[in-house]
Amino acid sequence: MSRRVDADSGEEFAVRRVTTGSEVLIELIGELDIAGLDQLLDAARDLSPACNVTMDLSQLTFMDSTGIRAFMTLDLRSRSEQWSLTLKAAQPQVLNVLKVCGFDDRFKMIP
Amino acid sequence: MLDDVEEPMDATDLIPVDEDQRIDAVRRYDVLDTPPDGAFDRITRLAARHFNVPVSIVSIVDTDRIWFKSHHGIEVDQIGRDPGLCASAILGAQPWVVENAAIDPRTLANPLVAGAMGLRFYAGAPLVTHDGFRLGTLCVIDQQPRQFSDEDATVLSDLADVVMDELELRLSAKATVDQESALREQAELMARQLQASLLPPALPEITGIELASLYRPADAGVVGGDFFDVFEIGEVCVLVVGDVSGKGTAAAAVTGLARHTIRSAAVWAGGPAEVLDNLSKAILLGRVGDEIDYFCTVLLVFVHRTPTGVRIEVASAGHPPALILDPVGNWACIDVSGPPVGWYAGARYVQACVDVDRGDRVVMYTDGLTEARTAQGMLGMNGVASLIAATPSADATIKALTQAIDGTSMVITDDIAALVLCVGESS
Repeated sequence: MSRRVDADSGEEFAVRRVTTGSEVLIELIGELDIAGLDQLLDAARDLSPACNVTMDLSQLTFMDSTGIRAFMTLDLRSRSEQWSLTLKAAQPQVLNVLKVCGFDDRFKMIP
Repeated sequence: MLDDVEEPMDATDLIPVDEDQRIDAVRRYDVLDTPPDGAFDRITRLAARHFNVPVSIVSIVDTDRIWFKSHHGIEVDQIGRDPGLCASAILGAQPWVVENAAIDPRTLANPLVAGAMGLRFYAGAPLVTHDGFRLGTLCVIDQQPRQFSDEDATVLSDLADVVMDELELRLSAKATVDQESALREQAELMARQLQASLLPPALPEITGIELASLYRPADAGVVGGDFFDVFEIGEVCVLVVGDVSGKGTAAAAVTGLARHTIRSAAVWAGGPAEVLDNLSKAILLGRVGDEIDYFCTVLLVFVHRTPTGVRIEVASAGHPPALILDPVGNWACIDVSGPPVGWYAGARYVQACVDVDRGDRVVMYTDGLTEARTAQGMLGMNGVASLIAATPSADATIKALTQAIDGTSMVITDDIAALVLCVGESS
C-alpha cells in the first residue's frame, strides 16, 4: 500500500458498531492515532455487563502509541464494567504492537 | 498681556507639558518611518474628498519633525516641527482650525503661510491614544480660505478616531507577536534545560563496550517524551530507552520519575524484569480510577561482560524490540514483551538472555524512528536494519541514523531516541 508523506500523514480513521443482542461488534477502519482516540473510546461506551465485545481489526492498517493507550483504557473499562473484550484479525503491524505490549495476556485475541 | 496675542507663537510654546511621556507614546506605537499603508491613505483620500480640499495628511509629531504617515495631495513626507501647524494642533483636545491663515494672528508669519506654499486654511484633529497622549493629527489643508463648521469639526474628529483605531490595532497586533515570540523563546529555553536534566550529560566510558546515542525532540519548544539513560552498577552496565506518552512538562515529570526509579531499583534488583516490576508500582501510585492519563514504554538492558563478548538481559514494558546485528548486517530482533508501565497493578515482567559476540551491535530505539514516513511507507524495523547494516561501529550506526533523520527522504513526526552498543574487540 502507499502512504502520503506529510506531517499528519495517514488515512482517515472510522469506527462502526453493530449490536446484536449481547454481542457487540466494533470495526476499526484505517489508521488509529491521536485524532481517532475519542472516536474509539466513545464507541465502547454504555455497554451492559456480561455483553461480549469483539473488535474487528482486519481493516486497521496502522496504530501508534495512541492505539496502545486506547486498548489499555478499554481493558480497564471492560474489567470494571464486567463485559468481555476480544480482539479479532489484527494485521501483522498491529499484531506486533499488541504482542510487544503483552495484550495477549489480558484479552482474548483470535485470528 | 492680551496684546501679546498679536505676536506669532514662540517655538517653546508649542511643546506640550507632558512632552517626554508623549514622545514615549509615539515610540511605543512604532509608526515613524514605516512604509505607506493603504488603510491610512484611504482615510486621507476620504477626508480630502469630504471637505473638498486638495490636501489631507496623517501626521505624527516627533521631537524635531512632523512625519507624515499618509499624505494626500502633497509630495512631502516630513517637515520641521517649528513651522508645522500640526505641532499647534496637538496642544488641545479639540480640532485646531485656521480659516484664513493670512489674517489669523496665530499663523500670519508662519513660513508655510507667508512663503511659496501659500497655505490659507488648516484644520487638524488630534490623534489621541487611549491613555490620552496626542501623537499627531489628521489634518486638511487648502490654499484658499475656508469656513469650518462645528459639524465639520465633529466629522474630522471622528475620522481622526478612525486613524487612531488603526494605530491601536497595529500596536496590539505587534504586542501580541512580540509577546508570543518572547514566550516561545522562554519555553524553548525551559524545554532545553528540562530536557537536559532528563538525559545523561555524556555517555560513560566503559571498557570493552562502545556506546553512541542520538536524541531528537520533534518540537524544539516542547520537552519530548522519549528518554534514555546509561549507567554502571559494579560490573554491570545498564542501558535504558523509554517513551512516555504525551509531551511537555507533565510527561517530563513522569520521565523524571521513571528515570530515577530505574536507577534506584537497578541497584538492588536481580535483573531488568524486577526493575520494571518496581517501576510499574511506582508509576501506578498516582493512579485514580480507570483513566489512563499517561503511560510509558521502557526497554531495559543489563550488560554483563563474558570472555567472548557480553551477555545481555533484556526486559520490555511494551517497548519496540532491540535489534541485534552482526558486522555484515545480518540482524534479528530480540523478542521480549510486557505491559507498558502505568497500565494495571500487579504487572509482572520477564527477561530474555542473549549472548552478543565481539563486533556485534545492539540497537535500542523509540517508535519515532520506525514510524518515520518515507516514500515507501513507514520505515519499520526492516528499514532501520537496512539503514545500519553496513555500519560496523556504534558511532557509524548513529551517524547513519542521524543522516537519514536529517535528510529529506523521511518525514519525522515524533521524538526519536536511539542508543547503540557495540561490543569491542577486547573486553
